[in-house]
Amino acid sequence: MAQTTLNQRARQAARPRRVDGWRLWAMLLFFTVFGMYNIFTVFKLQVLQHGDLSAKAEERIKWKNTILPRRGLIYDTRGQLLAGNTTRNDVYIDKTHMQDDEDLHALVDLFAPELGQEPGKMFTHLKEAPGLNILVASRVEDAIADKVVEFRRSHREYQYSITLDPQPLRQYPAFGPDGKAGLAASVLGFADLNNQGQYGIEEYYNAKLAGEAGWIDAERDSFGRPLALEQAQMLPAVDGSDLTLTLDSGMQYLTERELKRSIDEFKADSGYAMVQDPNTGAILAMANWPSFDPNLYSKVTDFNLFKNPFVNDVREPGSTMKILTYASAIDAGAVMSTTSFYANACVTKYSATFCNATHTEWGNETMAEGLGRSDNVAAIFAADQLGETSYFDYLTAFGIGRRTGVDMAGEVAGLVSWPTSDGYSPVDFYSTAFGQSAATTPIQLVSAVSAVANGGKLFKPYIVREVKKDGQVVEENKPKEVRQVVKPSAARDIADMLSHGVESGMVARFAAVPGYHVSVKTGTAQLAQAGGYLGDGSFASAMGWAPSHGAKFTLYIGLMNPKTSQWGENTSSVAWGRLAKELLLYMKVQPTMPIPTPTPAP
Amino acid sequence: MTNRRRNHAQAAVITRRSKGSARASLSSLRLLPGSVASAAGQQVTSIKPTLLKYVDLHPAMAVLTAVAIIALVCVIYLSQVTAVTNANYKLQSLESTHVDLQRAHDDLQLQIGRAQSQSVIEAKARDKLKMVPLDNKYSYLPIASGPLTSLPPGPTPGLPTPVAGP
Repeated sequence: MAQTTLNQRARQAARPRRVDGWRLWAMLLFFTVFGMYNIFTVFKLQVLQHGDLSAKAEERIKWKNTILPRRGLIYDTRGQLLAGNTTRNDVYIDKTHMQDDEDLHALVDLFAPELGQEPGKMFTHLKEAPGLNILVASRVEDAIADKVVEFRRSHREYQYSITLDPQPLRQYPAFGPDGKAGLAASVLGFADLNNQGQYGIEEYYNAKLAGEAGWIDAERDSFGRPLALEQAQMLPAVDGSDLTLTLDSGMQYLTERELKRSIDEFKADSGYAMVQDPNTGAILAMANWPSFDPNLYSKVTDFNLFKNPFVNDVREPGSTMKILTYASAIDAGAVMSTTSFYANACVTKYSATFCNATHTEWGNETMAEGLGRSDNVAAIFAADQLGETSYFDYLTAFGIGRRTGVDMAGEVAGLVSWPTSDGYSPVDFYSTAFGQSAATTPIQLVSAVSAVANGGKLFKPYIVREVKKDGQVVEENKPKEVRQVVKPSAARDIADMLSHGVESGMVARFAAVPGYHVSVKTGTAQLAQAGGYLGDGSFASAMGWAPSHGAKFTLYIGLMNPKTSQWGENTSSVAWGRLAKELLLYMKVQPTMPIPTPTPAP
Repeated sequence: MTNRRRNHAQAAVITRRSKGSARASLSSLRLLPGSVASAAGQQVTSIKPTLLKYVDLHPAMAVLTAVAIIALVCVIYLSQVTAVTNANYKLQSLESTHVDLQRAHDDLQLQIGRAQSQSVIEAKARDKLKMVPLDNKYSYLPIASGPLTSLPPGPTPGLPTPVAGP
């Protein structure tokens, strides 16, 4: 018996120890209950509350956003940056975390002063704006963004309610002569907050500069970071191309500075000036004053400042038109520079009487003298010799009354009374000959005069030299000759006639530049209004090129309503001479005549 | 009796039982063709002892073990997910750094642009360097064309004439 008991014990000892069954069952029961609970919870979340929760999740974690491309940069011909980019933050308030109006009030009362806003206005904006994530400030300065970050840090309860969204912002770093307005502002235009170019080059080349926006459709965590587990769908943005202009910022600055100085000195309302390379048509400088700061375009109240008068406005050219009249007549062989006639003070054509500006009877007068004195009667004589049809053919060939095709936004064609136009009268032919009855864009006039300056070839004006993508030139604008308008000999005669006028003390004498032969013509036009002219005020201008032979630039300056003198002779031509001198020095053009010894400073 | 032998013994009993029950099930599967039913029965009888040959688990323990294995797989999966997520955050951080550097680059370009602005240069020239406008206070030096060797020898203008030593 004892042996049996021992054997049983030995057998029991030899058996492996087994966990008591009830404990295992208890564990299994616990896990089963726990598992069932989990399964029920999952069922509740995934099935019963699927609609609500997925909608909330969609709202909170789904991230659909537009990826803005980097806008292309704009450089001048020397590589100086004229338009660049920076990043500023948009500030959003997420109303999801606000339980009621009281919560919103509490947030707004604390937060609005950080942005310099009134709490009441911000609250109204947040209440009325659709959606949950509301934009409350656009492109804030870095200092304000820092304040927002600090606010979130110090008010942890709002850290998920206030978000900063970095966005690109266009910047124009070069400043004009007053240190406030942007250099070449009306030429460049500006890009708005939606990356859309407005006015000028920004508008004309918007498709190239803007690039192509991309998008992202992803899920993000509570910090706004895209989740890696869910494959994000996205289309990367394509950055815009960079532009290199023909504009020289040095010449642009000199031009703007002289323009501002002249407007102040001659008490003009406004003015514009342009410098063109007559041998290529490239625009070297283009300025109008007063101007604006394109970095603060939204604060500009006078939208006329945005316009570029060289392409957007038309104006009667005044006597500067006589350059084209004489060039046409001489080219056609109708007159020569030495052709003389008896110049009365006035002449009557088709019952209209035209007089010269000073009502002076000059007597026997050559064409050179007539041009130098800016005699309207002499211009009418030259046009008469040429003939109406030929004259308008020449104007057409010079590109007057037609768009030049310059690569700038909003170019208009101008208004010329052609023989085929409704209401045309032969009187228009004579008045056009000395600069009335026709309204041209300044760029038309400059391009036409450049054709005379370079020996007779009309070039298409252009301002963008290269388009670059990732540092590679993808498009290049080269000088484009439109046509030969006048013979080189005729152009040379005009250059000599004009420089003779400058150097012999005639009307454009103040435009003289010591050491250089320059060819300049002044102009004074009455200010037109609907159905006639204003009683007072004038548009005083000076047009010409330097040096007279082998011209390096064509320069046009126009002053609106100068008060010290209404004549271009005493205002614009003075500015022309000063600016031409600086430009010749800047371009390192050697003088061809002896320069008077400078007077030593006392 | 070793565990393995005991398992063999149990397996033998189970085999006998299952043979009996297999016969019973075969008799209940009269609708099936005889060959198929017998094949199924053979499979079951041949597998079952083999499976249980090395396993001696309480059923509850078996379930718990299975749960533990599943939990382990879940943990491994979660650790993988966490690793991927961390890698993603690292990538995000690098992208953020890249964006910051790009921004700094853009800002530097603008700073250079502002510094090169002629109005800034002019103001510094006037205020700091006390420079004045050139006006008429300049003249061009006439230089004869041709190589320098063709110029007549002479003292360099503006330099003192060398004096012979004592």
